[in-house]
Amino acid sequence: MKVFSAQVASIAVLLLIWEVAARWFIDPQFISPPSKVFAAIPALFGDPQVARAVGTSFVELAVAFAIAVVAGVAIALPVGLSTLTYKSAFPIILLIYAIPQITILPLFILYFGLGPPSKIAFGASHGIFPIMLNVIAGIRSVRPIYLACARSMGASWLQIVRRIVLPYVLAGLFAGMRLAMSVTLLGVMLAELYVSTSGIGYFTQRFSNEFDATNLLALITVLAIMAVVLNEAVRRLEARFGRWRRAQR
Amino acid sequence: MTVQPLVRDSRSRAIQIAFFVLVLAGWWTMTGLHRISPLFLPGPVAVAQQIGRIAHAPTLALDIFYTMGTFVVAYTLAVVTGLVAGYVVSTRRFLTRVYEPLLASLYAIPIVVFFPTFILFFGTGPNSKIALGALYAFFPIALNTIAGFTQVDYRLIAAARSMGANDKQLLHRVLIPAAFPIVATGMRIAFIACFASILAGEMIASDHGLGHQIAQAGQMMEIGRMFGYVTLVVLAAFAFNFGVSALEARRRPA
Repeated sequence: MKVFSAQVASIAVLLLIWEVAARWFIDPQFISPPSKVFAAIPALFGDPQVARAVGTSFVELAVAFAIAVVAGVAIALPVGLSTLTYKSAFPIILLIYAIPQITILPLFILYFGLGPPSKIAFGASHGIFPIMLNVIAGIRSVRPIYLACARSMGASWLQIVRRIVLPYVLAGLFAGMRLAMSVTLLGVMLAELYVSTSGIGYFTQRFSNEFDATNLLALITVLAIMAVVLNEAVRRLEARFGRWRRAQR
Repeated sequence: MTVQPLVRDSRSRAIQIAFFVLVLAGWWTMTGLHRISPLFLPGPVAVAQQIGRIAHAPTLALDIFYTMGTFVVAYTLAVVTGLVAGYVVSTRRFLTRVYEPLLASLYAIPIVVFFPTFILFFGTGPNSKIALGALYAFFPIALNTIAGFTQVDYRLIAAARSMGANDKQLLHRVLIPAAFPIVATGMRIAFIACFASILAGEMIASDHGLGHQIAQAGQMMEIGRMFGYVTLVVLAAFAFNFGVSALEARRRPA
């Protein structure tokens, strides 16, 4: 309780500094006080164009995330389940992961066009790595003794997968999903900011070109709050499916 | 060591080499046979030629200087503020419980959406990229510093105290060495995030720098030139990764 009130107080102090700075010290073209920003949110989202843009961005995020999870698991399972494929493919995955992806963003635009498909592809290309790495790490952390034990007690292949491998896969998957959610959102936003004809990124560009700091900050604030809420939701899921692992230690 | 793992290792090495040879061969034949328009994917020879041309261009040194200068300032800012903030938060249990979750939540925000406000504020010059890169690097450093210092084994601290270590000795001899691996990991994540976000900032709005050159080549549909710049940046990233891994391996006690 004391912790929570200290957190609320910290946020309040930050907002107060922002309010004072924006009201009296900085040119209103560049920044707008939080009181005005929050007041602008209802009108901004009442604009059907903006509402549609937010919808577009979230559809892009959802599709990109779904692709990242499905493709990530589909690659991680064969790589993680055999020692030979693990030793061969894992270094290649790490090597590709080390490429700063932002540098190939123009290629995504070239191949997938200016519309949502390029944002989905770029977002998915970000999200797939945490999923792959965490699921592979999850599978590799299965203790060999459990497998030997299950086999010696006569467990079938299906039972071994269901009772021993799957819990590890799920724990890795949900740990990966939280990171994947945040980097997929990053990928989608990067692609939208780079070039777009719709979506949140398009409107942030437009508001900043028009020096409309109030609407710009209102849009970004809502997006930031949504990002925090989404992250918290996936973190809860992660805690739910990873609980047994922590208890084991 | 038995023979078995050695055999397995050479087998996976062979698979890895085969993979890259296949990719290169596929790239070569697809572009050579004109299955793909050079506008979409130029051949390896064309990219190599473009790298040669870029290396001779007088702008390259300037662009590298610009991007690296921005990076050094942003990263230094983030390291100093991140280490200080992280250490201060880690010293009191109450502060950790209040601020660690707050920082972790903020870290989930894609900071790049704030970039348009940075441009309004700092202009299209290096300052807006410094702000973006420093913010991106701050969170992993601060969070890992907190994690590093709060996860020091309590028995180590108790032992040092009981043998009469004062605060300074405790910090230098116990806390810093014990926290180092986790803090170093944070600094490494931050390094990559900082570099990538500065490139991103330069691609979205800038007149100089490597990111600007990549974006410009892409917009002019000079895909060969774009691949050239991308190759240079990727090689730099790999070289850096190798360097850091070697350093980390050296630091780690055997």
